[in-house]
Amino acid sequence: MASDFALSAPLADLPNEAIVAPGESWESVGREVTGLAIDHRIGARWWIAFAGALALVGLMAATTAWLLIQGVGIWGNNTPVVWALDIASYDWWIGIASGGLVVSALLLLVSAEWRGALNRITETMAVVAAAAAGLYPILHLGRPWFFFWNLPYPNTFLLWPQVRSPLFWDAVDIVSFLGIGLSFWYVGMLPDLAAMRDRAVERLGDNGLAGVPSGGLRVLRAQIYGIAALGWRGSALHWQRWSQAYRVIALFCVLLVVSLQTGAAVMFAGTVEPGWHDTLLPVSYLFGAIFSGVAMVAVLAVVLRHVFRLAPLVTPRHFDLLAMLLLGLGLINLYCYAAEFGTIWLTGSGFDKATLGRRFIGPHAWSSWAVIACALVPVHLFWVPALRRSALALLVVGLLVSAGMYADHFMVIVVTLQHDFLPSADQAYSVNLWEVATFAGTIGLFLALLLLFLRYLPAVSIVGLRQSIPPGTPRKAGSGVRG
Amino acid sequence: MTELRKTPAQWRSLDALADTPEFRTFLEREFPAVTDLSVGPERRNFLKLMAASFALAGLSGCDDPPDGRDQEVPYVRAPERMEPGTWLQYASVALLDGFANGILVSTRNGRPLKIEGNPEHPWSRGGTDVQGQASVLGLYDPNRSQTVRRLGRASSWAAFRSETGARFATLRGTRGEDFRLLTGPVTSPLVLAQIEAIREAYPAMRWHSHAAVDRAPMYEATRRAFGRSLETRWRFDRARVIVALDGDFLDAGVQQVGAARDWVAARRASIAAGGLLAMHAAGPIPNLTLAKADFPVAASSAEIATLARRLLADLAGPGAPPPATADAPALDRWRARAAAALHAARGSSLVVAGSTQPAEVQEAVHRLNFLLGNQDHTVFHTAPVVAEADNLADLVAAMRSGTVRTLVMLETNPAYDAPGDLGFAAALDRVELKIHAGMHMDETGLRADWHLPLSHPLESWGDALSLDGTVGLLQPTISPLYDSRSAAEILAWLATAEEHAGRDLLRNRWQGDETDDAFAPHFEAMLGAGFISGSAFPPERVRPTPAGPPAVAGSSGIEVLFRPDPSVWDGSLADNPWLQELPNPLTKLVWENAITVGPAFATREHLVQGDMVVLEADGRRIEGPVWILPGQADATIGVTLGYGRSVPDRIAYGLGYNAFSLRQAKDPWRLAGVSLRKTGRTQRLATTQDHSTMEGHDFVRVQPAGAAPVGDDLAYTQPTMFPPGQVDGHQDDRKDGRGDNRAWGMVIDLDSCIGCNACVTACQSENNIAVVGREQIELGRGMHWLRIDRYYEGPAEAPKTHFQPVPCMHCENAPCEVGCPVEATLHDHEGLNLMVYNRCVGTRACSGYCPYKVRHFNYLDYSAGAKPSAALQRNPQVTVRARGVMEKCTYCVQRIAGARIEADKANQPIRDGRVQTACQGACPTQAITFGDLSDNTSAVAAARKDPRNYALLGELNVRPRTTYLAEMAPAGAKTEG
Repeated sequence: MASDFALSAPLADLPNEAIVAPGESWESVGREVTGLAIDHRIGARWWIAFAGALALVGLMAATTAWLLIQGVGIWGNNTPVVWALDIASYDWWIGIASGGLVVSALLLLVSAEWRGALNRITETMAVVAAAAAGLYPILHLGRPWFFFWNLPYPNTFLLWPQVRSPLFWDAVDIVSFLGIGLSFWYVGMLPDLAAMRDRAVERLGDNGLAGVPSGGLRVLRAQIYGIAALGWRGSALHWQRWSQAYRVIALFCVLLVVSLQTGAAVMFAGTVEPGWHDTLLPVSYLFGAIFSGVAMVAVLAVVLRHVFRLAPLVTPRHFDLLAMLLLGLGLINLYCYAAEFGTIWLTGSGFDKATLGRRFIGPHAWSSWAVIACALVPVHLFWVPALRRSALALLVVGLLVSAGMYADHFMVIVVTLQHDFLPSADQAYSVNLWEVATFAGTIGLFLALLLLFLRYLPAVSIVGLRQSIPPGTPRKAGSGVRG
Repeated sequence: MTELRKTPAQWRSLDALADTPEFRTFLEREFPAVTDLSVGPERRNFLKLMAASFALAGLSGCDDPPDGRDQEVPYVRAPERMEPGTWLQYASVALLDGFANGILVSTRNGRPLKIEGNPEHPWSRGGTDVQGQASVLGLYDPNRSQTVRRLGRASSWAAFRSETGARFATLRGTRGEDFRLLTGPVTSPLVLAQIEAIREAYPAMRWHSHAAVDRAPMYEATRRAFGRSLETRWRFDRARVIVALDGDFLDAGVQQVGAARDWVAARRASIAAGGLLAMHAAGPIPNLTLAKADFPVAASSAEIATLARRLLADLAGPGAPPPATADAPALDRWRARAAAALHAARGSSLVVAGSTQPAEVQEAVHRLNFLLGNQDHTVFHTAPVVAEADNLADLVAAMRSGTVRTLVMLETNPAYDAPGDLGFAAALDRVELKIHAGMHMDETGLRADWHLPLSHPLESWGDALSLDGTVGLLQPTISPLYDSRSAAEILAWLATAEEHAGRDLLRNRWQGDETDDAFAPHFEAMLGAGFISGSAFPPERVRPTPAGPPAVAGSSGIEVLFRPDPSVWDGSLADNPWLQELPNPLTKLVWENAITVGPAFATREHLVQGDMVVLEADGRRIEGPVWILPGQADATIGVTLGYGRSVPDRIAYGLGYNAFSLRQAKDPWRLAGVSLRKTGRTQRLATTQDHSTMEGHDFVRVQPAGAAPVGDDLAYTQPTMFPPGQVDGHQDDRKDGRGDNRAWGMVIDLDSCIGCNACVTACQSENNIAVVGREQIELGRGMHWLRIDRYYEGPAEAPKTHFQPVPCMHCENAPCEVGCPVEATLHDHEGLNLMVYNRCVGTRACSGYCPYKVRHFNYLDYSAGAKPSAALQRNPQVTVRARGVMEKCTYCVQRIAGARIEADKANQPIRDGRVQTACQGACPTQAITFGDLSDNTSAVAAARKDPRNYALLGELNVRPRTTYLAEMAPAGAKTEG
């Protein structure tokens, strides 16, 4: 079976080192992962994190209610700066979602076996980030209750969305993302759900143990996992179809992400506005998204490893690989910025040059400098091998890159809008608390969903991990997945 | 219920017969009110209830409800000419300081909704000003005084008459000793006739008149120069050069509409003849006149006085005036250039002085015109328009001495706008009976024993003179909203102790010797026209008096100069939210006034924008924020009137500072010996335009006379992959001028635009544009569909100022339309870029995509904030936009649609000029041309062919339908920008 999944392993040429901690076996990883979701031994740390996330969700509920009552005027947006934190946040979240999804899908397609420890976190992050992102296109509307006018549905007006608008295709992309992203996440999880089911069935007879739910709930739990596992029995045919489906969906994921990110970029590139009207923008957006997605995976890997006590499964070897990926993406992004600046410098109109200048010395210059200081520079720490293996370094750099990419979206949107062609139309914009609260609320939503999913679902891909167990590790029967 | 249910004898449907649960649900949904009946004891009870209802309904008809509904009479015979849902226009006049501008009041269903210029009126000729445009909102002002008040408490006219009747009877007995009448400036022959009648009844009564913006210095100057009070009028069309010493003929004021029109007509004629009627202007505080000057220079008040004397000396002899050396100060070079130009055009030059200049300067200017041979050619004089009365200072002195026991104050608010050194409010306390009549319960009304509500000009009969003496007639376009009286009606009661109807008074005033029957048709015709034709004052022959000794030079220290606010004027219009939110033409400030200083002065005193400073003189002080105004003279501090109101619960309450408190009765427009002190605090100023340079672009193009054209058609000749002539193609398949092949377009002549804002207010009035308030403006969310961009060019000490009105460009390749995902903004077949408000979901993409940023978004429910009475002003043809919806200039699509319907009915093409946009109609200088571009004979097509025509941001290939004609500059001026 293992050979099925080791078709090619480009990263296997890297220094010969175990990807999971030494001593882990097929059985032990199964026990550990399913145990997390069945026994909830993580306790206080999880609850603290979840309480914090819930508080932020409460904040979002309050701000959203006020937003719906009063209108988007509670934010600081104004007439030139019609989009600010709303669309910046949307772009950032959807960038993270896209980045996570495409990295997971690509690594699957190239059969990078080390993805096993991280793909569940990555995909869950992508799905949940897309949910956070998906709120904005609705909430930022002047009349959010008519958001569905943006979608093609049969109606008595005989009116359809305006197909030239990048915003319509963005709506299509988001809906597609939720469909394809969820499928990828769920299909990839099927064998693990079967393992959960098996473990839950095993536990049906445990009585009197602390922390074990009462009998009826245990049955319910086993039934839910059983239904979710769609009757997976681990037959060879199942494995074959699963493998095909998973890879086909992965291919769709890659296509979708390219479409979504270039589409999000065309929302800007398709205009005549200086700083937006740029054919390179879709490429920048795509790589920016992957960059921010990987950075967020790095952050979550470090944090969740701590919260869920995954140290044996997520190892410094994973950190090393993530850090190298970040470094590479950082270089690609640096190239994109350099190319944009160079193009404008050499060929741009006066308006483009002026916009470029305002990015660095205008009222929102902090955003450009934040991109450089947070996104482009810190990844170069990872030229040092020791730092690549440091959880702390990865956490800090991952957070910085995420913040830097947020600043990038802010810069692209706000600097151009505030002052495009006519200086007379310039109106000062400043971020206000309601916008920050809305954004904080989406972070809360993201974290709460993430924590919930990882509490009740296998936080690490059991199948994936088993692919990373070096050959020769004894395989024991009855370790969850029957094969 | 089950036992009560019976099978009905008659049934309407099988479901009803079966009385199924589905039927009950249906019934409940469709007729919630009868559900109870249907489950009850059925038909009998239902009929009982119905019978009772009918009976009671009949009874309720016998009531006498307190709301006066029983007085309502339906149109048994509809009023003549009144067609519900159609526009009906009445000719009338709009008043500013008692002066008239001819207007047409557009009413609909009996409500006046919009002010248009009256093209027939000999003075205003179709133009309007912001105050006239905004006056319609003043009618519906919820803060208007609505009832008679006795010591602030609601009372009635009957109470007023009975309680004060005896006193006036006594006064008649004493011939009106210690009775004084105080009014605003009076031009109205009707009011004058009433005052005459009062004088007959009370021969010893004295009449005083007070205006915050006074014409006294102008009359004083003509008294010095010609021996009597006279109006000064200009014939720009005969002039070859204009020199303005702190000129303000283009600025807000009673002369603006007529003088700006004369000026622009003369300037256009000079351009057509291949030259340019250039204007040399020197002024201490930049204003519209200085901004439109071809040779502007900053000169302090003292320097202006010197300039006037030096020009007199330079031009005294027949020889050419001495030239200035190249390194002479800017002011000397300016004077030498102006003197040379005046000399070259002797006899057809024109020197004008500002109305706020002291009498000595104005006198010098009169003598200069005489010296140059301009008198009775480019400048002439007529009888004064404002009736002469005693001044306010005399009244205050009398009040203080206790010799005034009865004071009637009519249409004036001296407790607020009297010069601070008079101490009017304190003196008022010594008057026994104080009667105030005004449209607002203002500072004076609050101190009066009796306050009487005055009618708005749109609801009263009356008359008033324009600056040229033309008699304009006011007729009510709506019956008074409240129990108010016009000034003439109140005066007539004072004179005769009887109530007189305003219409009778007006009729009697103008009837003369004619019989009633003979006069009736004349009166009808006069009212229909809105003015009496041929009533303008004839020019007066004048002879200069011998020049007196030269005036002593003014002080050279820091001077505070007072100016009326270009929007709220002297404060009498401060409760009008349109005027409050109207950006000042130069500072672009809204909702407040600032203390303006010049850039050099600011540097020297370490002042920055928004610094709060205290100005103090003689123990009187004001505190306000600093605004650094490019082009303001050094050692000059500018303050504007009209703010710092102290009546609570008004929109003007607490806005800005009250400059009147610093003012003095003598020499009211300037004040020397003022100390300026920084408080250390700063204030954020609400301005609609932060950036004033064109950043090296040519948004406003300048065409030097005689130079190669600066206009181009680049906007329409960009490389394209589409076959050419898609829009111009309209012309090819144009057959008879009818049908769907129109192409609406607009051309704005930047040379004619004086930046006066009349178009902005007209647009707001026509299109129900919400007022958002100061906080929202500070956030950058103003809603004006039409904004006037103001750019400076050159050094901050002496910049050239440009104005550029920016409405929606109605781009043929509109970028906004690409952005909208729901097709809420799209093109129609006549090239209009439309907004479908009820389809808009508010993504705001269109605004982000718009290169001109002319779209405005309802971030909050701005329109819902209007008071119910103010909402009455709204144009029913224009949707009131809800929150979350984008809006923008529509080229007044409702007017186009109206014309299209008319044309379709008549099966005729829309005549060129039939559709006038609101901005176009309001413009006093006719800077805006609008029409069908596909009609080769249209005015707008002709304007597009002007070599000065160019498109703003034409290089973007959005193909804007709105284009501009470049501003003109004298030959040889370098093209900048």
